[in-house]
Amino acid sequence: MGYEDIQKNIETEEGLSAGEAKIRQMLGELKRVEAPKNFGFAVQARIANAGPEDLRPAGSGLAFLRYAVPLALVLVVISGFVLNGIYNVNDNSVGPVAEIQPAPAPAPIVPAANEVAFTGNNSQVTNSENETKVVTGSEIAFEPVPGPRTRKAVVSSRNTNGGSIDSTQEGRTPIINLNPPAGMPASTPQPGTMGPVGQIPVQAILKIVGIKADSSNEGWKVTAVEANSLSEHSGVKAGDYVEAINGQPVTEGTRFSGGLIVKNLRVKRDGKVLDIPLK
Amino acid sequence: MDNIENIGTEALAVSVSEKNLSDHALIEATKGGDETAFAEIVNRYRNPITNYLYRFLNDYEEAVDLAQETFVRVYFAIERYHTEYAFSTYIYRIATNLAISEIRKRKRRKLLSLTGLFQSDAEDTTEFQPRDERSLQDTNLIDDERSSVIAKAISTLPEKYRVPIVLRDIEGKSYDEVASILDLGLGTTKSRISRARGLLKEKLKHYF
Repeated sequence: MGYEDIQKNIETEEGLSAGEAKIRQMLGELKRVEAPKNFGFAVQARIANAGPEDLRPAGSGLAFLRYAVPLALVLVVISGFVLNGIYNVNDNSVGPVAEIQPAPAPAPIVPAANEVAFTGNNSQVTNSENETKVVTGSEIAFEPVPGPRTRKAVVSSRNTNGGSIDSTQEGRTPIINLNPPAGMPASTPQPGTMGPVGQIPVQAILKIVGIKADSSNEGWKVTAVEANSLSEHSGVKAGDYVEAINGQPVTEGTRFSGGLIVKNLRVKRDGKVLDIPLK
Repeated sequence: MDNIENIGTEALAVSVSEKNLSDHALIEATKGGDETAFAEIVNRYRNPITNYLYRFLNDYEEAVDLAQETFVRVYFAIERYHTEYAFSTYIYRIATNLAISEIRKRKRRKLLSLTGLFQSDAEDTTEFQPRDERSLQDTNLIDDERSSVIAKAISTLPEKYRVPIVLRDIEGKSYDEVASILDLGLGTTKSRISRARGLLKEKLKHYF
């Protein structure tokens, strides 16, 4: 295609606006440059001197490696820094903790009369007859141990951040302490659900004061009262329904937390509601 | 002496006959090992390709270098060339790809150049200065100045607009050829060329 042909092509376009036509004319009038006279010779020389890389088609896949390999190395280095940073964060979080002196182990509890010691899921209970029994769950029985008879009851629970039931009030009334946040009220989860970790169920509290009870629709039905226990002395009888402890209504799922001094029970007996102070 | 004259006559005959061959015939001859056929291809396209690349890159030395590289690529890929589309389309496509690659290399170099961070872009600030209204004795100087400004304006177009307008309005390719070279639809090609003219009109408004 010669220059005249190009000019003809440029001039023959129709339907352009005046501005477009002017631009087209200006571009068409640009002076055409020519290749240097040695152009053909230079091409032949380049062909003759072409190396193997020139014989590859343009865009060869190997060219990709020039970028992929350094990029992969950079990614590996960055990944190393990121992972190292993560571990450093963990190390930093551990450091201050390591400086904290471990909490002293709770002093060993010397069983006394009416003493209940929780260790994990087990409880060591000592009654007023100096009988000690290690129990699991809700079973409590007693075996004689030497020692003075007192009315002091202590409950410790290692899996509840330590804690105790201390009964020194009047020598009889149990104080249940699980070391929860101060002021945390008793909670009543939905039946069938677990209560907050470390809280004591109603059944365990009742057993501490000498009551064996089962949950029913009307409340906790007393099936047996331990002989010579607080409850027996206070007048609780088998067949009673425990409706509240210290005025706090109890259901099957009720849990108690915080320092708890069992002062009284509200029971229903023969259709009548009785408030029985423990003494 | 007679032999020499005969050889010269034969060479002239070969040269004349190759000039009459089509592009496809020259390609086939090159595939068959005829180096003079390839030389004729180079002779046929060296000026259009050089001019196209010059208008694209606005750098004559670079344009010549890439034009030579275009023919080297054509030579080594000649076995893969198929005759279902025009050779001119094929060679312009190779030249376009090389030019686009070169522009992107320039951008990377500019990006990586530390000194570039402290240099003002002289081209952008000078090319759209209002033309000097003083009268000049030599009209060639006026033409050269205008050509220079137009060339710089073209070089500032985004490449997707620059390529089609150079092919269409400078190289005189048809819309179909431009679309084929760029592997674009006809509508897209026309739209881009129209857009490129609009951008140039804005850049060159002092010449209207």
